[in-house]
Amino acid sequence: MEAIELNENDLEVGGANSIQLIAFSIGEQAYGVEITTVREIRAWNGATPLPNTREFVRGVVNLRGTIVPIFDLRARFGAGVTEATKTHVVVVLAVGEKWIGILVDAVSDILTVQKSDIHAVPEGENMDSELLNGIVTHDSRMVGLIDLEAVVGQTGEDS
Amino acid sequence: MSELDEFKATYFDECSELLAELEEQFLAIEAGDKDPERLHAVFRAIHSIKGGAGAFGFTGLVKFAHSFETLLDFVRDGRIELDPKVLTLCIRSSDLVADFVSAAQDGRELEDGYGGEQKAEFEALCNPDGAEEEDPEDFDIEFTPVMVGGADLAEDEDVFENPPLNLIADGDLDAALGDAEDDLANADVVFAGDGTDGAPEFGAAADAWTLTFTPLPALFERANDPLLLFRELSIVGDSQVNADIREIPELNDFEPFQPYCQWVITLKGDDVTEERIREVFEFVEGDCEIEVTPPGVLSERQTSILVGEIGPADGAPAPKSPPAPKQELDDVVDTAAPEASDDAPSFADLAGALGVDMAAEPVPEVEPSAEEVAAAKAAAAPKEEPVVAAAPVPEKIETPGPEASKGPAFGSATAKPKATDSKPPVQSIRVDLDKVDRVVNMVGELVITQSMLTQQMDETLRDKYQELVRGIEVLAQTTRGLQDSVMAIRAQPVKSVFSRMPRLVRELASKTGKKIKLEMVGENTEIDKTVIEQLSDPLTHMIRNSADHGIEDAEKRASRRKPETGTITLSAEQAGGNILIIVEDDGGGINRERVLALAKEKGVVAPDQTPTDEQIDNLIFAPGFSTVTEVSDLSGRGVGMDVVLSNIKKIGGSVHVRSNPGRGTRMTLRLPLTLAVLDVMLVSVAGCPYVVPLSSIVETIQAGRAEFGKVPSGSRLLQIRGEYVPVVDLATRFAMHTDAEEKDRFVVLCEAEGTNKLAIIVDEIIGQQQVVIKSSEENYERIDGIAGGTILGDGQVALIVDVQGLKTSRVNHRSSAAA
Repeated sequence: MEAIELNENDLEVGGANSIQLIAFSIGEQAYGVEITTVREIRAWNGATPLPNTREFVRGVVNLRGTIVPIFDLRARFGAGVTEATKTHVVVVLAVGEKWIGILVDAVSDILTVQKSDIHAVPEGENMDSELLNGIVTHDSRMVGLIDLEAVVGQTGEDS
Repeated sequence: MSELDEFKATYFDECSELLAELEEQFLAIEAGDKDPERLHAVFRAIHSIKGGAGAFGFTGLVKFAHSFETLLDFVRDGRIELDPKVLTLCIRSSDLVADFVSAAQDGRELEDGYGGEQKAEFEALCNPDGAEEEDPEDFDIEFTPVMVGGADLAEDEDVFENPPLNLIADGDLDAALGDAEDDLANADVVFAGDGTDGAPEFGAAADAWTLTFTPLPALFERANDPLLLFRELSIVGDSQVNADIREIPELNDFEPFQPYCQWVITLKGDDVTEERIREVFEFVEGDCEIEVTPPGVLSERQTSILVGEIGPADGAPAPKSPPAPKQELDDVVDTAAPEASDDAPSFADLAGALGVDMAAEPVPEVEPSAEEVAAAKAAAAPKEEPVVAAAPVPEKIETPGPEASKGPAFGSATAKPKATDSKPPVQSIRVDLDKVDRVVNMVGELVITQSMLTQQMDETLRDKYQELVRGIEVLAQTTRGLQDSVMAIRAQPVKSVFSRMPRLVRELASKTGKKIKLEMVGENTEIDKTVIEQLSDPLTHMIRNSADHGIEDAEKRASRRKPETGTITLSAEQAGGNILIIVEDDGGGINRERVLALAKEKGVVAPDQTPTDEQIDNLIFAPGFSTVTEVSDLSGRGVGMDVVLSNIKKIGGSVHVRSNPGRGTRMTLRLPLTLAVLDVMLVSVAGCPYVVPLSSIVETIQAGRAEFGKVPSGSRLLQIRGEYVPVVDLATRFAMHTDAEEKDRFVVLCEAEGTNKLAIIVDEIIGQQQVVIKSSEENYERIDGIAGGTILGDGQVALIVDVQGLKTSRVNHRSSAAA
């Protein structure tokens, strides 16, 4: 709770030129999503697998009566399926009209970054520019901004 | 949403209801129903649409509705005969009203002179001589402000031949009344209206309804004019409007936006009902206070407006009221406490004196001797009012009951609300669908919890805690009942969507130049509202298809010796837990050769495949399929029938078509009664839970005991009672690995409506239960072979197997592999 209160203060300080991120880790690497998209953070508690989907769709869970799909972010990045345990975390996010969950290793921090500090993703690997909106530096660490629309897209069998 | 937008939204809601009503009434009239009430209903509907349109400034709509209304008025009066020609014009015009409404709703402008043709026809009909069109203002009721008590007016009976408005001004009245008996006589003439003998004119009359209309400031703020309402009322019945202008202040203190007047209106007429009166005030509901009392009853307020403030001497009208003997009147007048400052005393006294039937219900506390009843009547006063008025009477009440002990006079007061508030008019309420849905959802969760609890009850528990078990059984029953009731709230007759179809058929008939009639059966069958909402598009497509492709042109029909007019029958019926909606035509049936050729050409069917007739018929639902080579305006864009299939599937239904070449086509929609709860069999495949709708399961067989055969493609067939049924192994189909041994697995034999059987192989059968269907598409996307999800008692998600989907996609698989 304290963290959230802090945020609100930060928000006032930050104003329109900054955004707040929830930072989480996959392996050693930190990533972030805008805090306003986050609906809930919960521990991994299994999911019902869906037939004939790509491996990064871990299945669906019941979120207070609604069915929410869970995307394994590690698998989405092509680094293999996460061996999820109770210490793994599902971040529930609103992407457009839909609610989805992303499976990550741990949630680490809440960051406030200046919009002007967001770097574009360098040209190169397709996947990087596809899945990331930008890169920010926080405490000299690199944090990749996840492009949620891209994560959710292309889940079908034939794509 | 601004307030105005909200009003608009409500208006458009009402419009769509009213338009449906129009459709329905015209349909009945067309079918030969001569009940004049139908025409009245039509008139009212158009009128309400016009009224709201005026308020929102939809000028085109107002103008059109007005001329339409004029025509209807003529028809209603019998000045124009409702022959088929006029009826057709009326039906066409109500379609145009619908166009105007939808244009207004979308904020579109219809081109100038839209509906002008019809308007011209109206005028030609209403004014065959070409006389000026009747000005809408012409039916103004005549307003003759009559000062109550003015002796000169009172003596002039003529004024009261048509005395729609009386003004009550206490100053004048007091002066006029004085003490003298002959003045009283004058006063009574004032109230006597058109002189119907013996009946006190202001509402206590046996044949007139009385209503009190008290505007609130909001009425004027929303620019409503009471005059218009009175005009409306004068259409409902013979009205007499009495204005109470006592509250009008000196000019100095006059606030133009404040309502100072209130009115008591009496309405006479054979078809005056409370409903019709309330209808007039529909648009100002909430902006005014309205009290309606049936003939023979007067409320306190009404009396007080008519006579109330005037004090004891106002016993004046009494001579005209036979039930009150002169002597008693005098008593009442004498005994009424002069210091009584509020209205109640004089009202009560008057009520008694006038014989107004305040105590219509016998009051147990009062001994029923005539004398005492009279006394009780005299004492009739609302509970809230102080005792003052009744002071002279109590000794006549011998057995004051508990009610009366609060103040002896009130023994009979209990009867008063019954007399005036009799039969509450509210029969239905508008509830936001969201609110109902919330209840439905919660009941759904309750059902889950209850079935989970039941599952937890194993034998040991049953023996040990019998009370608990009994409690859970009761809970199960109550939950069922609750669920049924909630579902009933959401259920609506299919009429609401059926009623849009006649218009469609008329349009189609005129566009295609074919003669088509639509017959509808079972419109009152009720289905869940969500299902109904999803029905409109599929039905439209199906009927278009029937009209466009099914029904042949006149020539062809003649050569086939069919009646010139083609018939499309739309019917709804309940069959078990399902609703069947059937669209049937007596047209040419499906041209199977062409369908198959086209399907092969478009790659829907592999070139070497030879589907059965039934399979070919159902190909018309395949995506991107259309047999008509030239794209017509109506159907044939190739997106029609697959929309039907996908819409119907979305709501858990199925579509089946059966065609008889040369004779006709019959399309059947099978829909679930409710969307929310489904009886299922819970199974598991590779450790994951799946549910199969119970309604599609024929039987289950242990795989070890089943007979299988193999076909060249490698897939298996189940041999059962001489039938060969295709087999789908869910583990293979869903690409999951199962460790279960073949012989321990189960075969679930399924059959969805109109399709062939299908055997599904699962690892384990866990049991039966009720589940609440949840959409998996809401947050994700459509999953092949899965119809949705549900949440089990332990919170886990189970997927619902889409039996039909398994089959169709299997066919697709094969065909795409072959192609």
